[in-house]
Amino acid sequence: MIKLLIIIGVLIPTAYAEGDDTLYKKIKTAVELESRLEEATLPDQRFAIGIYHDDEIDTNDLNNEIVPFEIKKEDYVDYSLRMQVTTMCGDDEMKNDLFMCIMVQDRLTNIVSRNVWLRKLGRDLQAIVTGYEMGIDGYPGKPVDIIGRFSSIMHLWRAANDTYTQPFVETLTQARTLPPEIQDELKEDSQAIVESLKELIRTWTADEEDAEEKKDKDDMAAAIRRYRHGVQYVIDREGACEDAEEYPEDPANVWLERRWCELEEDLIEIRDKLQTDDVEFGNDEHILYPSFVDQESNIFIWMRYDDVGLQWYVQIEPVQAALYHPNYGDCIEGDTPKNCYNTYSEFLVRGGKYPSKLGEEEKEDQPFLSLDTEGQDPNNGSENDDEETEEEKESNNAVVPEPKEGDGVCSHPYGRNGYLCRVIEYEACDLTNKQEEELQVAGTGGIVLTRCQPERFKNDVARRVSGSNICGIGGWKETVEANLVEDTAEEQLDMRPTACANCAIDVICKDVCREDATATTSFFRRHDVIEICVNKTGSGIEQPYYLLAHELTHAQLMCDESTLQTLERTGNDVTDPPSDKEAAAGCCASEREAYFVQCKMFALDGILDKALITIDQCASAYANFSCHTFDDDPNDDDQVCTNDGIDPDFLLDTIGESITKMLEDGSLDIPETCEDSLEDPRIKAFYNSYPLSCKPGCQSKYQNTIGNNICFTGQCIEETHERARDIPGRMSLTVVDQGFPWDSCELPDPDIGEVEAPPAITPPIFPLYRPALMLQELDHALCQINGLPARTPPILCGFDHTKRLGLPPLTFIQSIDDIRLQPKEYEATGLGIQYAASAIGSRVATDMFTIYLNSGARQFADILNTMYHILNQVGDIEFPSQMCSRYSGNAGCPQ
Amino acid sequence: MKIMIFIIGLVLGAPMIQAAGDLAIPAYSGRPENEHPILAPCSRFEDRYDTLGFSDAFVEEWPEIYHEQVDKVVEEFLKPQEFECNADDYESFMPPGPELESLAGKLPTWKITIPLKPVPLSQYDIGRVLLEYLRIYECALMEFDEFRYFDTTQEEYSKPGVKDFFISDLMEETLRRESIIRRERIIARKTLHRVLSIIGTFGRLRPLEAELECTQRLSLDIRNIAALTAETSSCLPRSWNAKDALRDFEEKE
Repeated sequence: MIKLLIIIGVLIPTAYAEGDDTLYKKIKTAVELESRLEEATLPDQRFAIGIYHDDEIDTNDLNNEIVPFEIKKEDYVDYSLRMQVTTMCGDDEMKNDLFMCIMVQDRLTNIVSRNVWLRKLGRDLQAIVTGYEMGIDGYPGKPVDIIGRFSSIMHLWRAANDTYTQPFVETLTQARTLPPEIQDELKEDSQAIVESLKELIRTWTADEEDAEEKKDKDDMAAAIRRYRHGVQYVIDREGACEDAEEYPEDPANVWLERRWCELEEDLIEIRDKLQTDDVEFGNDEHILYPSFVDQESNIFIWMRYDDVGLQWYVQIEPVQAALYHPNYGDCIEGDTPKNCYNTYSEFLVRGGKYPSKLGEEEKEDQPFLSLDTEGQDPNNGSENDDEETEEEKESNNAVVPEPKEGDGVCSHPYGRNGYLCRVIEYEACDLTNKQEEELQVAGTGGIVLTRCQPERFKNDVARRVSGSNICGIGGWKETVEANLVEDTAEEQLDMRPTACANCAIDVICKDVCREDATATTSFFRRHDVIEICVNKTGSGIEQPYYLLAHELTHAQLMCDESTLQTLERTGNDVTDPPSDKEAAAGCCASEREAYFVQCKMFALDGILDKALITIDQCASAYANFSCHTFDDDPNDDDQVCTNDGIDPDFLLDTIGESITKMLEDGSLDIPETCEDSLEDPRIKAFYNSYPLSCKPGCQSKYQNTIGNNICFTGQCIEETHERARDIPGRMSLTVVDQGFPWDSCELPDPDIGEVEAPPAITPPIFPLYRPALMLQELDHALCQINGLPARTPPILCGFDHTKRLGLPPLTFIQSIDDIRLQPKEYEATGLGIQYAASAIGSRVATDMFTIYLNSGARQFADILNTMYHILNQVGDIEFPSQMCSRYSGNAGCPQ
Repeated sequence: MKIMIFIIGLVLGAPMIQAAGDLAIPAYSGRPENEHPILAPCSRFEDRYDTLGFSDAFVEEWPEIYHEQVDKVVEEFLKPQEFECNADDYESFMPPGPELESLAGKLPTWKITIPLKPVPLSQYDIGRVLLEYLRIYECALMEFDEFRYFDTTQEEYSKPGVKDFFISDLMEETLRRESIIRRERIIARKTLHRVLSIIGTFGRLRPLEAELECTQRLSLDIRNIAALTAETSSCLPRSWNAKDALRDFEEKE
């Protein structure tokens, strides 16, 4: 009977040994391995035979001398699981007794079962994470690729001026096919990498006939994880592989920090081949190539122009906790377990620490999370211990920080645009009073992943200019040489605009433009030429490069206006002086827009990142600084443009210092003179926005996107209003002349869109996302479920063992029944909290969703409705069959 | 003889059923065993399950039948899909693939045996269909386990050429079947749960992906419309200027 069971046990693994080439079969194989009660996985097996020797069990040799029982073969682990006492302990050279043998088997079985549980938990967690994250991880070519599609849609819709008008730094992406001449070569190289990864799988086969080969994939899974952000990413941060240690000092971190130099070389070779592709670079674009997918092996190699990396096609295999150093594994394959243990005892991982949440430097400073195996007092790991109280330590280490910009998931082109990877601010982010209160509560601690922070925009007088040129600055148009006038650093008195522009720009680089200003733009024109003066050189925030961008933005706003309009707009009209408030609003709107572009350039160059200032803060500080003459009380804390309580001088000093430092250490590469700045591609792009877009006989050129097409259409309508006589009986807006009421002979105005009220342009509000608060709610729920007030720590609200027994017993039977039902209550409590967790989670998620969509969805629906009405009305228009004739005789209009 | 074997089977089987119960039933959503959902009648010999194959095939063939079927449905679900962007509802927007539809058609919930409104089926329902299929599979396994000596005897006698069947053969064959049942009861549900966890992302994101693909197609159309509008609008100043009085000459008679 027992033999029969053994046979069955041996047969089980071979029952489904066919190829696991599909997702379902792969997972089934993993579950089978986890569920085998008669066989240990290879890592568990090798770990068990090592750890056993930590505390050996004694036996007797033939001379009756006490000696430790030795694990002589790896197979002993499986013998223990199958309770094969005779096979394992029937050694002729020893006097092993049954009781001792059962004790050894029990120990080995325990070690294996604990680690099986741990590894199974790892796979289950991986499955859960994959179930939520796959498809939104941003790796192109995955089975579900939401982000790639979303990015494509954004590209189709965007207008090229977005770069300078959005308050965040964004890297665009460009998708390309593999270069045809090396396409096959790249595929072969990729396949070779897959094969070399598969070679990392360790194998072992038991002595029995028909025994199935055991596999250890830990090495391969770790390699795939290691290069998930790219091989160049690892090299940039940790140095070249040949200079680095192959294995880390701490064996617990072996799968997290190991380097695979040959693999890195192969990946770099692919990257180098990709860089032979003839690519036209835009503004720091990421170039994406199709990923290489080996579905059978479930391995995925993603390729960008700047990096190449690895991933699982479907993430089902996590990096398991390291159990031993690979050198120990190598030893086991050629020596006895006992000898390997004696040599590599330190390489067995008997416990470990949770990975540091705050970074490498702080990893010793985790008193509440670490498992210190060396007997050290974990509270003494930091140099700053004296300065921190226990509460501060707990608080500091309990918070998971946001990923650093450009690191980890934020290094990927799509990931870096996510809210975890950058600060998203929007000036029209309005909060209700209730939300403000919530924000104050949230500000006292805990994790806040998203929030609306509109303090800087309270009581602001004006944010930006409206009117002139629908798509403004940023060069949504591409260069048309015929439309440009060459501009030099000298004054060009003979400069005139081309026929396709209302103005020309003459930048004059002087040693000193004015005593009180380092750069100026003239309100008054010289033969339709706008003069811009910039100091030849400058330091800190007075770098001519950025000042020039600022002044060119002013010029762009002025170009299609009359001088009078410019004066009115900026609050400088002396013929009809504006009120103080109007003057301040004019200055703030005008200056903030120009400074916004300047600050965006700071951000693109990494200056604001270094200064820890956002684009909006920068633009607001500059505007306050520039318009301070309109401040009614310069001595109070209120600023003239925005009421953010931030000292503009401090902010500008910080930015200036950052620029100086970055120029000194070479991390900022900008033209440092006014003359050189004129040759910079970014500065040249500003000149593309001066020519008219829609003037008959003039050429416009732009990338075919929906946004750019709408820019062009809008610009045509705008220029029509400005230059053509589109309203019967009235001259164009820019011509001050009398009307012609007698020449109108049209059908009545259909009043299209007259009654349509466009929705207020307010973006959706980012809901507060506070995981810590949710956990607090869960803790409260735990107490409520047990009918208790909130307690600290909340676990005190768990099962009260005297609760049922404390009831007054009416009968003896009831007391017995109470004892019997004790565990039942505990189960009920557990289930209750499970249900409460999901209920709280879904309620919070619904709330967030509602907040987010409440404004956005309504406005979107309004816009669609308006579009529908207008298009419907356009369809009903009856067009006249002929032009409206001025001299139609006495018969009046033809209809 | 058969009755004798059956009685022996019952006597010997009782402790083994207990052992399998302790060991084989996977933890089910954290609930204690007696709180498991009560299985509806699901004998594999009932008419409603006659097309699933468990009543005709030997128990050793069941794992292959079951896992192959689930594998096919999952693989079909993972394949890139063509979406009908002008569909009226999600049932027609994301229709079930032939494998899912075929499997659902064999299950009572979706099998239309009486002229009632059928239960709607879309790709969304893959979890429900597979879990229902698993339930019936487990039910068949448990049913066989309950009567495994009898059923083993039945199976052995139905094999061509088998006339004599000793108790030792019965023991061996029953144990072989028991191990299959035991293994399947351990791995089938765990595997399906993990697979459903992973493909849950498809279930959640695929509608979004489908919407995005349709939005992408729509965006291309809108881009073409916007480009045509832009082309047309380049004539705006010219056409409006054509109405100017200076260009409005008197008609010559």
